[in-house]
Amino acid sequence: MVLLIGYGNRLRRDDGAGAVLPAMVEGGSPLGSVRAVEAHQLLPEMAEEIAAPEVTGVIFFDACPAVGGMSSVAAVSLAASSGEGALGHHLAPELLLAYAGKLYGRTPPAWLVTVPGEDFSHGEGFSDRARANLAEADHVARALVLRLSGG
Amino acid sequence: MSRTITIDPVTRIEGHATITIRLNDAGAVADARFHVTEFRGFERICIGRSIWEMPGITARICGICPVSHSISAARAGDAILGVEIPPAAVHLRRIANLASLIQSHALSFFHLSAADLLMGMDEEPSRRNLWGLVAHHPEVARGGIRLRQIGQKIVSDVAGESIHPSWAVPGGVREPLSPEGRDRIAALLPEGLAIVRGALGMLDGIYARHEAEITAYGDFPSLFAGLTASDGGLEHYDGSLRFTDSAGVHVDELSPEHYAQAVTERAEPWSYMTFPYYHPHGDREGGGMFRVGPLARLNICDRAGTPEADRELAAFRQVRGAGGMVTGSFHYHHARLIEILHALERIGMLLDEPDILDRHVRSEAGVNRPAGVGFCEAPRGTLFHDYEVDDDGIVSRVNLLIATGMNNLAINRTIRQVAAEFIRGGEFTEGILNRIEHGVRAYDPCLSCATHAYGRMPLRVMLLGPDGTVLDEAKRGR
Repeated sequence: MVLLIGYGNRLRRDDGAGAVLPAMVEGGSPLGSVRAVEAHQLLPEMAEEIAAPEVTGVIFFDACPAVGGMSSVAAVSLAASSGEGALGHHLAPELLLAYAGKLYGRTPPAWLVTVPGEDFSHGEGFSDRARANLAEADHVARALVLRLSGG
Repeated sequence: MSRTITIDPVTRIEGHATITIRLNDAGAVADARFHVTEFRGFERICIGRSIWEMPGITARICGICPVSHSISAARAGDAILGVEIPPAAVHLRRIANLASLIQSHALSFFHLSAADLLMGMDEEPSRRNLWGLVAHHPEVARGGIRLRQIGQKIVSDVAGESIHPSWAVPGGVREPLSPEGRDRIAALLPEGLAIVRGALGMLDGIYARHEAEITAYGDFPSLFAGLTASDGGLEHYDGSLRFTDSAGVHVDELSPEHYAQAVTERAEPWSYMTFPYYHPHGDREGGGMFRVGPLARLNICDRAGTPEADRELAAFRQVRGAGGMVTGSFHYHHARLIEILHALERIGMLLDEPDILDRHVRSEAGVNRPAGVGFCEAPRGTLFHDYEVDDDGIVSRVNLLIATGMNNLAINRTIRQVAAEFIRGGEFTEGILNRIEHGVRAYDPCLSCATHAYGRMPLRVMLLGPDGTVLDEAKRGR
């Protein structure tokens, strides 16, 4: 089973792009092949869920500003890391993976899919750019699910 | 020549702050200030919105205590409607608020402070953080994660989601508790109790390691304030607003709706956080200064009202306060653990209430009053939402009085005390920086709430000469 963790604020328009993706990808996926988790931010307690024996892979989804080279959907492989993020209420996915390994003895393969957006103001709904990128991210994520499922 | 030290940013607190420490000609600490440097202005954002939206909007103030904001907003709405909400809704709001306290206190103790407490204030910063805790005390980190998880799961089972739930509404709550939800919550409690008992068992070792800090971290007389039940018991949702002095004398007790008769907020040009004080005693530290939060709640109550927490409270007062009031802010850590214990016990009792599964959880009414005050005990202390509305329930004035703000005078006094204790001859070391930060962290300040600050909470400390010249500076975080 592939764990899909999307995070962001649905009331800050394109910032919610990461948050909605797990449910999008779950729709149409074979029953039991994925588990969708939506959150405002990553939380330490997610480490236990990540390390669960049935999890064959994890895909994190986050939004980012569409600036410079970040105008299209990107998928990067993640490694556990204890770097930045250890000091506050905010967690990076790499640190969460490190917690999973250190505290629960298991770090499954993980990827981060970032969805560029351009409107992070108050409100619901996505900009045209984010909407287009959501469709692309859904496509990218489905391929990753197959890969992480061993399919 | 006098100097000023600046700590910027302060880490492992929520928000953004700078500390300046001014030294006199002899190199001794002359003054210290905790500057909150970011601003969100939620009170203004709320103008023009309906009271029905306020629980959902104000829950967004904070990711750590959204439940308390939501409940205070809903209670202000209750007052404006002029309704008594159904008993089941009261029980459920209480459970959600206590569960929120569990997860917040667990974050504070296990994740934000345990690294300092277990590894020592002089440990390398690269090790003295959450990752160091995970590496060297994994059982403590796991316990903290599990306690947070338990708190979040309870909130989620009661309120539908764990962060920013918009479930409390004027008149009650949106959904009743299901039998399955009640059973799931009940099943979580024994594990939570075991974890917090284990943490309480670690405290003797922690205290032995921090003898120098215990008396220097905010140990001074002040008032303590918070809610107490009608029988004087520990209270987090209702009751009266009590002010107790360091000698244990209850100097005032009033209806929380009338908080403005007791508390005045003073503003300073150097901080976005106001300086509330108990105005019958005047705006002076040691006079009108008061502390709120877990330490204050344990000091003002006559009893905890649950069996294990009552035993722990008696021992707390005996050991930490020589049988009387506990006046050192270092003891906030201990107080948090006792409150977690109490919250788990109290939730168990609430689940046994005969009407806990009642489907009637909302009283319907229109706008009957032009104003209302809502309140509860948030994890960091008493929280007030004070609204005025028009005939349609559109909000025209908002005042949010936040726990961290009410601790502002004490936080400033604590920084001055820690700095005076540890800075010698104008020397400013990493260990001193750590201790000053931890002095702030004892209050678990949430500046996102108190100033409605937008962003993260790094810290900056500056050392200034008597003429204001920056002599030294240190920064932490982003």
